[in-house]
Formats: sequence, C-alpha cells, structure tokens
Amino acid sequence: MEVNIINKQKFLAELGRLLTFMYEEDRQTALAMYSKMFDDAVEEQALLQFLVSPTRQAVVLARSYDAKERKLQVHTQSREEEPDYSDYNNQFPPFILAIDDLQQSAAAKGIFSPAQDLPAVDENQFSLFDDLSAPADEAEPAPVADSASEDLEQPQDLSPEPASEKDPVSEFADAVDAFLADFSIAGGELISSRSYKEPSEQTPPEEAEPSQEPDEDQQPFHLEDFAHAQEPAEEEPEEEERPEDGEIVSAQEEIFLQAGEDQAPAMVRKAKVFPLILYIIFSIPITLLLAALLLIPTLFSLSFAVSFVSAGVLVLTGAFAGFSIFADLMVILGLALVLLAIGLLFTWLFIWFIGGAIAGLIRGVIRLGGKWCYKEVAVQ
Amino acid sequence: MKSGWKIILLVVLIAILLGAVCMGVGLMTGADFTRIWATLDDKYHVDMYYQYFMEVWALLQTELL
Repeated sequence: MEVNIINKQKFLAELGRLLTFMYEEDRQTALAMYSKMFDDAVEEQALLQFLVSPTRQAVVLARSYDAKERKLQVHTQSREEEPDYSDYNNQFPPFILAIDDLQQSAAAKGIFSPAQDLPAVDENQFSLFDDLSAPADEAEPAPVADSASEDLEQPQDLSPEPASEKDPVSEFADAVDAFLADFSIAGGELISSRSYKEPSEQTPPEEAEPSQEPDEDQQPFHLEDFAHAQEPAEEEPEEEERPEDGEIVSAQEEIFLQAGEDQAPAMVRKAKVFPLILYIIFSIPITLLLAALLLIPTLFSLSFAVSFVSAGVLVLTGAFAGFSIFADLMVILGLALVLLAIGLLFTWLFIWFIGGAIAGLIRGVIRLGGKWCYKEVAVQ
Repeated sequence: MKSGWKIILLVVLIAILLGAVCMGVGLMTGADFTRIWATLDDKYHVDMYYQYFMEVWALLQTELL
C-alpha cells in the first residue's frame, strides 16, 4: 500500500539515500537513469508498481555493484567532467546493465509508451550499450502489452509470470520480494523483522508454483548471495566511508571470526629469564665481533668504490680535455665506462654489506633470541 | 636485495661490454697508450703521483718488513 502513495520524487529521494554505498558518479548516473524511466513512463504508478520500492531497487543495484572494481575506474574518471563507462573492460558497469535489463523488462510489459524505442533513457547513456544487453528483442510487444494492462488492474500479479516464460529478471524479482518481506524500513535503515513471516504469506508467487522452481544450479542467483549484497544498506549508517574501504564483511564471516576467537585461547609470549640473560651476555659480544668482521670488507668495498668512481670520472673528464685523436678518445671513453662500472659494483657491494649482511646478522640474532628465550603461554 | 643484485649486475655487465667495445674500436683504429699516458700526465700529473706512491710503498716495506 505504501507503493501507491509514493511518487517519483519520493522514490528517487529514497533511492538516492539508499545508494550511498555507491560512488557519487555512479549514484548520479543510476538516479538519472531511474528519473528518465519515470519521464518516459506512460503511467507513473504503473512504473512504481513495477519497481515495487526504492529499497528493492537499491538491493538490485547493490547486488550488481562491485566497489572494488569501480574504485580505480571512478578515480580515473574523477578527473573528467563526465563519466565515461565505455572503457570498463570494454563493457559497462554491471549496475548500469542491471538498470538496462530492468528498463527493457518494463518496456516489455508496456509501461513505456508504444511509440518509444527500447532505449528509453538518455541516448548518451543507453545508445552505447544497447548491443550489450542481449535480451532486448526477446519479448514481443503486443502480447505483453495485454498482460501489462492486466497487471495495472491487479498490481499484486505484476511480478509473477508463467513459469515457462520466466526470464532471469522476473525470477530475481520474485526472490527479492521474498527477501524483502523479512525487512522493513525505519529511519532510512533496513530492519529485519523479529517475527519471521512464512514465505507463503508474503510471496504468493512462490507458493503458487513451488514445484516449478528450477534447480539451484540453474537459478540465476541464490538468496544467500542476495543477503550478502544486502549488507551495504544495513551497515550504511555505521560506516560512511565503506566504499573507500572496498570490503564487505558479511555477518556470517563476523560470526565465524568471533567463534574462532572464542575457541582459540589467547597466547602470550613469556620470557624465559635465565636463558634470556645468558643469551644477551653471549650474543652481544659475538654479534659485535661478527659485525666488526663484516665491517672490514664493507669498508674495503667503500674504498674501492670511491677509488674506481673517482678514477672513472677523472678519465671521463680527461677525455674531453686534450685528446685530439679519435682512437685515443674511444680508448679513454671505454676505460671510463669500465672504471665506472666497477665502481658501481663496489658501491652496491658496500650497500649490500651494510643493509643486507650486517643488518641481517642483527635481525637474525634477535630472531634467534626470541625463538630460544621466549615461550608462548595460554592465558585463561 | 635479490632484484637489486640482478639490476646492478646487468648494468655493470652492459657498461663493461660497451667499454670493451669502445676500447677495442679505439685500439683497432690506431690508439697509442704512450700518447694517451702523455696526454693524461700533462693534465693530471699522473706520473708524479705514481712516483710518489711508489716511494711511499717502498718506505713502508722497509719500515714494516
């Protein structure tokens, strides 16, 4: 009954509030496409009944929206004035295709004016991906228009269709209805109703044809997946910056993690005092001795590096000083290159001794001490 | 560090090869080491430094050994 009193402005406002999990560019695009659908609809109420509710459309978009994949795309588009969806792996974002499917399904039901072509929304947006949306020409306009007129008279019979002609969109719509029956909107949040209603009460289409349900493998989606996609709307008020995070942690995963934390006892590293003191007493001098030994080749490497690089630079500058014969110049340039190359090798050797050998020695001694002188104790 | 070793060794190898090619071309086209040495000595006094280091080395040898 709430659907009947809502209008385009309320629908778009509510939908815009529910789509905050999307990037701003995508949200504006989606709202523009829905607004265009309203503009092109013959009867606004028919379209509203077809769309059912803003929450349902938000769920549809949430299911087809991947914030991780859109992150880089949106960042690159943010420098442009208008978003260009044509370079999304040579396809359009899934949420646009979802709205496109929805619009074509609505067009097949005769919600839009008959004189209008299938691309009912802005040509800038739709003319580009008409080819991508395959099911555009699967529905004959004339017979569906009759069923659409019946649907207008009986709004409850909108979503169910004969099982033989059911397309994935309508099956998805039925399942969305069943899922949304367990939720209600209060203060802009999706709230799960405490008293779980039987699907037979809420979803007559599923009750009408329980034996005609396809196998799970043949279903276009599962309710479990749908529940995962629903979570952004539930967590939205708590985490405003969730799209930047790009991670959706499902409730099942949280429960699993909490259960894992409950089961695994907390482990604390506890020092074995006497071995630790002994290790410190012996390891520090030994480490210092080894580090001093490693310093010898390190300093030799440094001196060789400085010598060779200096000689190379001298020879290189000397090549442009007084050599008038080209053959001599070539020999000097070749000699300079060789000297600089050897100097570079010794420079890298010096860096490796400092950052690799000596630092690795110290890290290894500390790690060995942690392994020998500490033990993990379970805390109750 | 491993990728660093690879890069450095590659650069060093390429530079040494280029230097060897340059020296080979120079030697084949008539370069003369005595002339090169004379030119460098005129500019940097290489012979003087060489004689100085040889004297110091000989002195160290007599003092230490």
